[in-house]
Amino acid sequence: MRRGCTILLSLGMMSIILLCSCTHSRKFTETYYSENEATLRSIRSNYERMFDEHPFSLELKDPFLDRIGLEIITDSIKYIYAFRLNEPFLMDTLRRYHFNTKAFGDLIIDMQRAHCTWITNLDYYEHYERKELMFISVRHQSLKAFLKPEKYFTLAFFGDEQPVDEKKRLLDRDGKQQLRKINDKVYRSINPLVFYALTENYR
Amino acid sequence: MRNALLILLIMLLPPLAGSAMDNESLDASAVRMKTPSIDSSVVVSHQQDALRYLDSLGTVERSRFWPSVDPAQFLANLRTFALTPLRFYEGKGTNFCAYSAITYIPLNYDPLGFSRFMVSLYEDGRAKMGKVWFTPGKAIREEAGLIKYKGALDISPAGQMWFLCLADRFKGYLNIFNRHFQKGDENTLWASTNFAKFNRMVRRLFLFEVHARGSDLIRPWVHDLYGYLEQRSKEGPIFLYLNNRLLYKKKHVVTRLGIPTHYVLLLDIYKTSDGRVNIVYWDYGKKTLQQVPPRLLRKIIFGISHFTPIAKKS
Repeated sequence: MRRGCTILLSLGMMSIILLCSCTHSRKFTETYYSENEATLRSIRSNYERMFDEHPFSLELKDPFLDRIGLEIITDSIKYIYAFRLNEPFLMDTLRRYHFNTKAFGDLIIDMQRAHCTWITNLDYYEHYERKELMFISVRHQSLKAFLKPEKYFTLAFFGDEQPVDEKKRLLDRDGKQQLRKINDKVYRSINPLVFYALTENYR
Repeated sequence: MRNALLILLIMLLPPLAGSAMDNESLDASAVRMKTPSIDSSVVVSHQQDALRYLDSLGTVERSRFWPSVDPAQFLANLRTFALTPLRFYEGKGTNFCAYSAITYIPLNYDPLGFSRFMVSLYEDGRAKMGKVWFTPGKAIREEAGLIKYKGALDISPAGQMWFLCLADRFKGYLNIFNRHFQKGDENTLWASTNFAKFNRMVRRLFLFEVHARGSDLIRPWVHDLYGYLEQRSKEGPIFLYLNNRLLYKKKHVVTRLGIPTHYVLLLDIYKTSDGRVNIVYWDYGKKTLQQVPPRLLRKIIFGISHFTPIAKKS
């Protein structure tokens, strides 16, 4: 009898933990975009403008902005840098590649404000035509759960409206109701241009 | 937000003369993109030979063996492979990195031979490279051209044919539990490659000498790893089997299982003035230059395959 009670109590506690962790991430996915929409718009316009001049990806390696990662993409080679913000190397590198340093600083501040850890442009193909989407990964305390691996809230920003099914899942344009996956994940619609997924990797 | 002011202050700071000593060596002008010294007698054909051959074909008829591979797209792919071999792309999230790495050899030493092989494979459904006959089954032939959402691999049905054939033909112990292809297996253990299988593929496909050090679980015992890699890179291409989770992190976890997961082609390696190591490697259709501490370099490398471009003694 006593053993049965212990098992029941353990199962009850596990259920509560699981329920709490699920509720956390579900609530986060529902509210994050609306709460951070203005900042995300600013990030998008700023990044797209800078990317057109110099293709790059940016990583905020920690929430305190001690370290950042910068990937500068040229036609022939990709340079992967890691910087500490209290070192002068970042500024020297940005100047060498003729980046707009103020816009770069604004982008970092916006990313930190919206808890973004990674921003890049991803290519995808529709009927043999190359297109790009902006990809942002969000790392947030609300997505961490006890005894579960950390999750990232990833956002895909498309340039034009995308088809979705009745469950608001991103579809391919081939007309066969095939789900379009990004990094092997199914994405769901926030609006016709913005889609999200919870993922195990931030890039 | 506590660092917002700090960033703005840093952005407004004047540049410090000579302060870029650490990352300066990553500058484009400082990259020494050298070509390994290659014995010219082993270069079987040249880019122009492959292009002339493809031009001479004009068009090919749609193959009954490869129903989803468009002939025009197939020939366009082969031209791209011959023209820009370093753009050869394994696809996002696939386990094709080993197959992509070894493709550097035919595309650089015998692009004509590779084009002929691919055309033969397309037209006849079977073809021979080195000592190996490729006779892919129906599942493979029907899948080529249908792999999607993998970036530029989506528009490379010829690349898909090649990768699927290699993964289908060569098996190692990692493939024991998934030996038969099913849709989506490009991401699974079906396509994965252990170190012994990788070296076996290179030896049997290309009749050149391969010297390998290392294993799947234990790092190679090389006293001066940097010196070894630098010396060998002068003699020919080097393939590295490495722990990509440490080289290119995708999660913020601290503890990681120390196993290799990725193959790259090492193109160049040199030290900076402060003792760090710059490595130039090729994967995902691009060269990458990354600066790593020597300690990390030792930690991530599990296998070194040194491909000597000298025809194997028969």
